[in-house]
Amino acid sequence: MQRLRNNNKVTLAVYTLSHFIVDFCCFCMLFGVFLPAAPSLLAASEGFLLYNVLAFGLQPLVGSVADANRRIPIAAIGVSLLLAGLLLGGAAPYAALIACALGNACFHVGGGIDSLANTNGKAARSGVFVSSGALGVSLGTLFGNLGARFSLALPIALAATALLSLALFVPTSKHSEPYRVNFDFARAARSAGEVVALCAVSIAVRSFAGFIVPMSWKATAGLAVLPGAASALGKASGGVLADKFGARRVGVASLLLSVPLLVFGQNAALVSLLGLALFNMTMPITLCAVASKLPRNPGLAFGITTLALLVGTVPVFFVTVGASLAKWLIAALVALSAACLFAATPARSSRQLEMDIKKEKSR
Amino acid sequence: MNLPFIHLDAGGPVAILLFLAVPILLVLLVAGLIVLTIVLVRRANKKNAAAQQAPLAPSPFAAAESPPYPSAGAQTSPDDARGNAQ
Repeated sequence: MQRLRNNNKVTLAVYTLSHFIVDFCCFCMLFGVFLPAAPSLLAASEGFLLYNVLAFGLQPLVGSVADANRRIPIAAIGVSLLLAGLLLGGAAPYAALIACALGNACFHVGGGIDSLANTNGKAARSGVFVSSGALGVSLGTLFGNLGARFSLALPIALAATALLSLALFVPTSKHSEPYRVNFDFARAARSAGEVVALCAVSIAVRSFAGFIVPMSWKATAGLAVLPGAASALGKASGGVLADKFGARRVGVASLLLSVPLLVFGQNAALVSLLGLALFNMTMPITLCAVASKLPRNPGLAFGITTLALLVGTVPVFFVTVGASLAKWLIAALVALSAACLFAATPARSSRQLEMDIKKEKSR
Repeated sequence: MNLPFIHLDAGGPVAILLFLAVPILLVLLVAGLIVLTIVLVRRANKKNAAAQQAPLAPSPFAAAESPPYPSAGAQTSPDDARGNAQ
């Protein structure tokens, strides 16, 4: 057991699975408990917005606290809050929503710190960690919309399993000195503020564009899960590819390639799904670029990216974009996102240059 | 899920303001969180810069460690010194 606790791959597996569970449970609560209990459509919409603001917007603050206090088991606290929210359930829908949102924020920060701090400057780990959330959201929405057949028993059992796994397999940090993450995904000539701002704009713009992608093919509930699966695949592979071919090359190319697929895949599921996978590849890249400039603050770096996601989500609650305008808007926004990423990331990281020099020497 | 503004009945500016109160508050909260994050980033950046520029703290055993031998340079053998000069 001790060997498993100190195994980096086991920790990643536990965090990734728990990420799926946390997002699954939150969306089960939103659609299965909060939505049916809401007095009106307006109240439901406001509740969903409140959830997003708390779950995503508080992460920079929670991350900053977690960075300064490494011994706090922030992920386990998050899952405990989530479990409390699920147990409250229909008895107090607003309290349940707030507890789940706070739990979500804490867990994401804990998992995000692990994915940034326990990797040797590679984006693959953070890509794998963030990937499972998209699948959890899709399946949680599907499960929460079961109507009369919906029960909180499954989410509660899953949340308890996640909490137990974190307690058993994730060691609590014994260190109190600041983190020192070692990433090389941001252009050295740019200041921390510039890279953070460029990445935040890239993420926010991409987040809004992601919500207005026309998907007429997503008619049945079963097909509605596929975008989540494609996003998960894109996020996981984006990190691996960025480590191999470079952050800028993979990030900019995948974004630009996704435009025609998203725009013209309205009625073709396979084309649209491929576009979604490419579109989501930049997620670990922007995260690692921000972390490159904040080496002692992986929690804050992770929180900045989720706050940017929230900024891109908020307009969706107020504005509806027609399908014809959406196509032009997606093309323009993705191009802007790619331009920001281009400006923030290096053509070739110094680590890759070192590897190339070593290869040349060995020849 | 969009807020159903499109179905808003004509009820005067006060009714519209009340209708918008919660979304406006939430948007203001997001704006506040953005400002807070900017402050946190600036603070973290300052600390990072200070940590990178700070000289290494002297070891508490420095006094005990320093002499008896003068310095690393003085230990170089004459042969090594000749080699370096060449």
